Amino acid sequence: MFFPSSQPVLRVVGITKRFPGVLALDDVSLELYPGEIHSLLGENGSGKSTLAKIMAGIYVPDRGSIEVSGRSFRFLDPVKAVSYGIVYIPQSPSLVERLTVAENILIALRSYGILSSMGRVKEAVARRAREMGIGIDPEAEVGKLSYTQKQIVELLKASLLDAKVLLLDEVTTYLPRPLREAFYGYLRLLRSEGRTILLITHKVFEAIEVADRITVMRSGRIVGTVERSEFDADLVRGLMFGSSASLNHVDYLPEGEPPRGPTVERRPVILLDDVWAVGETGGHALRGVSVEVNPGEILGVVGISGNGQRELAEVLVGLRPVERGRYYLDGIDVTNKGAKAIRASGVGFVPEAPLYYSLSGDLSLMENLALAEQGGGPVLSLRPLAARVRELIEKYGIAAASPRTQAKVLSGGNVMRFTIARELESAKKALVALNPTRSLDERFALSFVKALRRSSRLSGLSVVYISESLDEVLRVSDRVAVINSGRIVGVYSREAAERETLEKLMVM
Amino acid sequence: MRELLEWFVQILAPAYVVYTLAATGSAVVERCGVLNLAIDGLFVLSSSLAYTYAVLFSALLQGGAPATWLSLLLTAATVALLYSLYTTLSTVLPVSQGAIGLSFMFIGYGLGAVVGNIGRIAFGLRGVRVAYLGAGHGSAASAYLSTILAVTAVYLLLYKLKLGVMIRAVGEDPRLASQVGVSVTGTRLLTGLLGGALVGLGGALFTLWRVGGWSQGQGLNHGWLAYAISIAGWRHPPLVALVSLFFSTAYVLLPHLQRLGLPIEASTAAPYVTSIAIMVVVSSIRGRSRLLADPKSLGRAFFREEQV
Repeated sequence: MFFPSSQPVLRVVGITKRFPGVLALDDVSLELYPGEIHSLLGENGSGKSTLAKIMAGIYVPDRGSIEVSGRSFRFLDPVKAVSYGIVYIPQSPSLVERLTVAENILIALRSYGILSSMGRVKEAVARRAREMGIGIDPEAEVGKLSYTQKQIVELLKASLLDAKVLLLDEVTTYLPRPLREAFYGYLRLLRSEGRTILLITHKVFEAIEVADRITVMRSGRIVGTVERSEFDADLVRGLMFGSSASLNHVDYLPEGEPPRGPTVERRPVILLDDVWAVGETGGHALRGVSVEVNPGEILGVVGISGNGQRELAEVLVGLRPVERGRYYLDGIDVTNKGAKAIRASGVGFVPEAPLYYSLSGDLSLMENLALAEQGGGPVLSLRPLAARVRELIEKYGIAAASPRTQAKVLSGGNVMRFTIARELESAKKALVALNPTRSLDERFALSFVKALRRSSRLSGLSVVYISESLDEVLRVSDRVAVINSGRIVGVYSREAAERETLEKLMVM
Repeated sequence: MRELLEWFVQILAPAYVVYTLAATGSAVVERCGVLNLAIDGLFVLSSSLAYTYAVLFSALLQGGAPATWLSLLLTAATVALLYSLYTTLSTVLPVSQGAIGLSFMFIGYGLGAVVGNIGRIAFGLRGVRVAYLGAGHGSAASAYLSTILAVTAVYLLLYKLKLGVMIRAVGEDPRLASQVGVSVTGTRLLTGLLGGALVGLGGALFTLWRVGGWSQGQGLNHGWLAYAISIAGWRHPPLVALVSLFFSTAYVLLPHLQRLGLPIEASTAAPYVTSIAIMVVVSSIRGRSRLLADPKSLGRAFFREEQV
């Protein structure tokens, strides 16, 4: 049994947080005590990160309160949270790319006044890195570090912050094993100094290995807290998945080989040959990418965010110029032919942020559909258009009042549904999807994936499915390609794709 | 030859000091992610404020150097306050920075006319040239020197102190900076004070040294010239100071082209045409190092909570 030796250092009471279309947290209460490693365990989308971000003042809860050091707040802001010693370390390193390691750490350190010199912090960083046995150059530009190195910088930063409560959001996800163990040791050291650590994870073994208590979340609620003496993997897993455990199986997706027509030869629909492209911040985001996608095939592209995925999608739909190399669609050279021509040859695009890429928020759904249509002349025939939108609304379960509804008043999930509906209906040859399920709930995400597989099996649609989620890519793809630093570093058939190999390639 | 060079150093000094200070101020403001569209209006206002302060204090103090120094100081302080209001509003209001910047520009033009005319009506049009700044080798040399010192100080602040790192972090990614506990509004307020003081000093010296008096619409477009210098110097103080040397030379010499038979319209337009040309060429250069790159969030509205 866990006997709290003192008052909780941080307590949240009755927290509720709603995002457009989802109830992310539903009346959640949690207490954290000094000197404990507390693991917050749950599936993706169970609300762990949202809760941590509320504790760190990044999100404002709709209801509930936060108590820290005996004071109660309706919400915190990051500056206030940090001043109470609450430090949040996010899953993907949140470092300013154009600053150096030392500069990134310096801006987070409250013990340094605004007139302190760089020299002082450089020494402190170098000293702590030595203590932790980490080899890193304090003057290295963060944007040039690998993902793992950035993750290490985050940990280094956390250790220098003198935090009372450390909220670690899936920080060990892509850390290599030896480093992860060194890191656990460091957490224990911090605990012995009386600090509190909230370790957010979806890995049961990790929680069991280091935590004193495990709190399990599911669908925005806390379903139970287990003390160290009662730890049991099956018990915890049962709490975590509940009755929805079966949802995680993939076997009911439409299976089967891509159709092979009686044509003489199979020519790839999409063929990139040694494609180079410049990224947002200068420098090459794509460095010689070559991929082939055959008719009716789904090629999954997986990688850690920021390794060229977005640029790859943009090249494929013609939104980003190709600097070197060729791009063939159905054997025809479309290199730098532009988005219009590529769209006209039957390539659809489901981007991660439709309102940024492909829908106008101020226009109605009808108008947004008309924008994407090719041909038809300058005059719109409104009635058929409205009828078609109504059909899409019906067929894809979009929560929209009418075809005249403005796109921006729909929730994020419904904007995505409309985009998917429009693109799936109009893509004749190929579809490029970039993190498409980020804003979708699990159920619709699954039905989208099914719809993709159905289209690829039945009508021979070729799909490039780009995502950060390895699970998702493994679930949907016929072949999996790993992208790292703008290069395709491995391509595997679905049968031959092993999780561990892929993970290694992602962080290499 | 030697005489020509001396003459050149003398006539260049006021222009160089004015544009370098204002451009450095603009560079600082943009480093924190606020698009400095207000610059021309606030430059005009500075130049009017300096005149009215100068005539006011020389009446109160019966003339002399203290009046000029007070005018310089107060102009810098007033414009610093206005600039901090500008950078703060650009951060806390969820509207486009363009709208706020242009509003401040027009407010600057309007207030500038009012303030200048108050001075003109109350004290009449008089010369306000800084006596000992205007003549002699020593004064030009000390003006160059103090400008270089100011630029060096700004450089050290931006790149060697925590405040500078905060300014650059906020200009790159304000949401991220706020997540590690940097106050975006506070940082931009301080940046506004600093950058505004420099722009104010530039505008004041424009009146007190380069022109030595005041007339309707004085300073108009000179703020944009400073802006062009800050962009062409990639918002990096020492580089700005260097680039300013070329620009100031052009601004001082190009109007003299009239004597060579160039139409007056062409010679008046020459500095602006040159600025635009250089700015276009310089900003199209890709692959700059991190210290010279454009701030990533320059001109973008800042929302603290993620947009879902």
